[in-house]
Amino acid sequence: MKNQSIKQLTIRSGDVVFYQYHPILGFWGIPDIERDVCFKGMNNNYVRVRHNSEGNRDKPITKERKEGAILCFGGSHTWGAGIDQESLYTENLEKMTGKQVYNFGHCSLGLDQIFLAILEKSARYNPSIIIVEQYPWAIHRILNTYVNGYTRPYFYLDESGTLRLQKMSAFSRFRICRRIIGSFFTYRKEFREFKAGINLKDEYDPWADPIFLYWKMPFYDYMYNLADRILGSMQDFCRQKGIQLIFGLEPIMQQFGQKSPSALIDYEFPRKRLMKILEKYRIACIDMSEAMMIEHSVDDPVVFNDGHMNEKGHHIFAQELVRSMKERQWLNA
Amino acid sequence: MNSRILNDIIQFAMTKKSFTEKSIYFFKGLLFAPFLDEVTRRDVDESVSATSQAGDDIYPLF
Repeated sequence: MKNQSIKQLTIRSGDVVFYQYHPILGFWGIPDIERDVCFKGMNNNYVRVRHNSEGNRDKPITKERKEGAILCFGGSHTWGAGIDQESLYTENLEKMTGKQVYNFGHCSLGLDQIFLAILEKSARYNPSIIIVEQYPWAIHRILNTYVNGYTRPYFYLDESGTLRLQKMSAFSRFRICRRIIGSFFTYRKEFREFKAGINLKDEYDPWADPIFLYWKMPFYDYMYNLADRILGSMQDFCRQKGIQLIFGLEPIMQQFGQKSPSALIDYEFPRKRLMKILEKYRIACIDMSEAMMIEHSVDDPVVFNDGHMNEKGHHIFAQELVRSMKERQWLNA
Repeated sequence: MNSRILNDIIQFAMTKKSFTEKSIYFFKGLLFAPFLDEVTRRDVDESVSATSQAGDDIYPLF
């Protein structure tokens, strides 16, 4: 039976019930919010979603901080869309490793925001390991400067190819200003896409998303170059601080569905490009595809229909992380 | 205003379905045109990217 004092609501992709403006990261979770949520299209049951005092879907913050904590960053998978907090891979990790694990996952977070969050949070939490969960398709978020009513800080490459950060404008704290700035960002993005023969607004088909199409590759060259520099900087930072960095890449929704209708459509393309960059910088990476696909069946799936990991998926994700970290002897300390 | 950008803005607006949308995109384009220069410049820069030079391998049928 649900607690009557806690509001119930149904949310869809793009809803920002749990989010508010953040001056550095663009948006972040609202602290101390608690709702019973039905995630439309994923799970018809109500799931309790509770943010702690720092706006994260995690246990309440205590003063006691163990040495060698594990910080987990990522998007809606890490935040736990569709599942109870107890089933999150971060909770599984804590049980499996005995270490203090913090969840900094938030919906629609891009790799650039994750990097900025790592810079901010690692100074406060002094972690020994940082885990970044990345849904390979979501790499395109580093091109989106306006998401769900919030402008974002973003990186870009200047004419000499140097990585630059465009911080949040002070005006972004005002909703009306965000709408005006966002209107320009949205137009510019659509205009760029139009010039590359891409129309995501009117004709979007997830099975023919341009990010998977070989003949649209040149348009995404800039995105992968940008991701390259961001990941290089992330690894540099972690090395300097003595932090072990590991990426976990989930299989994407399309891999569980129909086979690609053409050899020119490759659903694994973003993953391959991302893994190539991670290899280049010798960043530890686990491709969860094989482990997930083996355990997946129609009767007992590891993901919801929209590709988000379910309880079973989260458990496998945690298991694979622990296995890999043990092999690397990161959990001995 | 650069005629190339103006031409692109008009073409972009014309891809929209309704007259209202076409008008909105056209006027937004005019408003944002001074800031769209780099989009056009990047488009020219990337017209011969390393990947597009690999065309023969990607489109073996053509």
